[in-house]
Amino acid sequence: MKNNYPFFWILLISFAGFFSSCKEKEISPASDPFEGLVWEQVEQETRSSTVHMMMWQGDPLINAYMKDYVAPTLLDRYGITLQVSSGQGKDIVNHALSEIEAGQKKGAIDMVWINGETFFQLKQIQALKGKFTKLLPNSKYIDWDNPFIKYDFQQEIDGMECPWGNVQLSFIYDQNRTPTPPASFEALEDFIRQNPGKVTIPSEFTGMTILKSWLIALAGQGTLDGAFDEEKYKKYSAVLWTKLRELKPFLWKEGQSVPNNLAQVHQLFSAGELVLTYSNNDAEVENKVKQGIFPASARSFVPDPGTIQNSHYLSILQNAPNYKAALVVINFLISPEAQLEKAKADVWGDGTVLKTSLLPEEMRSKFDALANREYALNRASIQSKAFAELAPEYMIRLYEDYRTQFLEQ
Amino acid sequence: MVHRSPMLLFIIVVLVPILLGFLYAVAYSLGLVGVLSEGFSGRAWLAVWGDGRFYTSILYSLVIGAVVLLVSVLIALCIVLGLRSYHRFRWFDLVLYIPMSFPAMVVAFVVFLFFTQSGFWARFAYAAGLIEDISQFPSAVHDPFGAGVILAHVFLATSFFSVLFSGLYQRIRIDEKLAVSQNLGASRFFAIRSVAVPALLQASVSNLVMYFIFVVGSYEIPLLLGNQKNRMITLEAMHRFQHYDLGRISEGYVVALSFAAALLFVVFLLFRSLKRMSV
Repeated sequence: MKNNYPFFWILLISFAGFFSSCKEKEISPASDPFEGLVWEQVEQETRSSTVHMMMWQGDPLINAYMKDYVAPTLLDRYGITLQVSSGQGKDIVNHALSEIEAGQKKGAIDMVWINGETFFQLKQIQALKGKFTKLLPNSKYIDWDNPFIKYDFQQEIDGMECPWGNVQLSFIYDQNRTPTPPASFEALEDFIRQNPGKVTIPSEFTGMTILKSWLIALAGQGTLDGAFDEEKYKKYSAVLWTKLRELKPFLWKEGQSVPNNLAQVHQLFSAGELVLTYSNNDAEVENKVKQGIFPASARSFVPDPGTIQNSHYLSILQNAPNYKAALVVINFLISPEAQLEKAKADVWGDGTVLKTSLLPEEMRSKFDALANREYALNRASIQSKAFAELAPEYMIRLYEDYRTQFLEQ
Repeated sequence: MVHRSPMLLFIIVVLVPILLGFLYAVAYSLGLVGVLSEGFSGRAWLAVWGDGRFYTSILYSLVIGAVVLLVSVLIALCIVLGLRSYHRFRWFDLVLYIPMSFPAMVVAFVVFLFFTQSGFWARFAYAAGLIEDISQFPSAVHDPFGAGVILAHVFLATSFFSVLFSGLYQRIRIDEKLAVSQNLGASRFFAIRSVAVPALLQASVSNLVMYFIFVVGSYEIPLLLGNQKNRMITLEAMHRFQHYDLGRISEGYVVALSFAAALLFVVFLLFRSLKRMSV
């Protein structure tokens, strides 16, 4: 008779392991972890501790800002060691989801760099620590009245994430190769026909921001504000997909494929295969030219009637092992000096979330003295063309429909 | 006599985690576990099995795997059998090994740099007057036939099979077998085709199947070089795992489970027919 004991033991151990791992869903603790915290005590208690931050690390200038300015200043001034790991959007959500499902009470990450649909998803799975922005001494300088800062993809941030920077989607072209870029989304259609195989829209975050901007342009500014509206989405996206399908033969790869990351679009633009690239950061062309990645003839523009402007934020995860030190780090990142450093075109060029009129005189004059942009448009000149972000469901639907309504047609 | 300790170690370290992972994947796909789960539901299974893209993706992945295997095995056989006189030199195997030492992502990136329409070969063709515009250069990147994906995989696979066949050539004494065949009146070409090639292929069946599975389940190369419309199955699964709609995660598990089952079935059929052929 065959010896089936090994097979029996495999099954027994496996089922025992499996069923013991099935848990009731954890309910977030009712108590507020930020209640009663005294800032001076927080700064004292968190000295000689480490904060783990997860953020997008796709830009060398941003990485240098964090590594060469933020981390050493935090260590020197607050005794906090900042450890940064790479991850954006989906990575952060997947990480948080895995830890929650594994019942991990103390996670690996304290704070995250997020916005929009990531904020939406993290709230959905109750992965955020709670409302903390009022605790931060430097939050008094934030421009809370600015709707582009106060709302994140039409969601009230409600103290659960802290504004860190503000950007507007811009298109980038080479004025030597393209003397006359398309002035509007309407003109973009003719531009694509006149430049067959030279334009594409990637299937990632920036590409979705382009599609959302185009959707707003078709619907009219303000029409899609507020909560997600299925009927409005169907109505205006149908127009968008029809236009894109008509343009398909003229797009890069005849619209049979699109890049799935922005770095590839930048690379194809630099190599001359594409005549347009894009950035969610209106200052990006400035630092890309200075890094030598784009030609010196590269410039940015915002097509009429406008493009989406949004803010990006910092938040603390529900199971952050060192959330108090994360508060200190976030407070430093929104400090006038850190925001000023970040705003410099040769450092990052990211728009500040601070209301400069609330700053001390000396700081205000430093912000005013920031060098004008040489290759990118000045923010003041494009502010009138800024669209508010749409509710996160629009992005979720566009992401899937870009494939089913355009790529697969 | 079967030693129980190594068997137990294998069970605990290898089989149990795999089975646990499998059970978790099944439970997640049925809505039994997961932060956003709402209880037992076949929704994810119906959504995936009712989606034509899933079947297209499986077929596309299997075809890519088969083409890579066919082309790389052919080239490897030509290298090993055509350069028989070099087998006695140790540096021969080292040279064959070099391409395999490149990480897949690096190979994908190099293919991108060389074969995209603004890449090295396009610029060379333009400079040589063979094309008037770089858009006339046939791009092997992001194309619907997966040419770039196949190219990158063939580069790595050819190296692997060349090293494998070179070792087998010596171990199963192909030289002697060829000499015997030729002494019996076979031509050199007939001897290679009817003796050497079948002997090498039969001795490497499990490696061929393993590499086929590896190519079909690859991720980095199709991620960088593949087409967005026709996606390999790994990208199809990841698309659902990383979807902005968190409810689609369970569909990612369905894709992974279904594909694993389909692959196991194909491998089973393959081994069964090979066993029949060798009887």
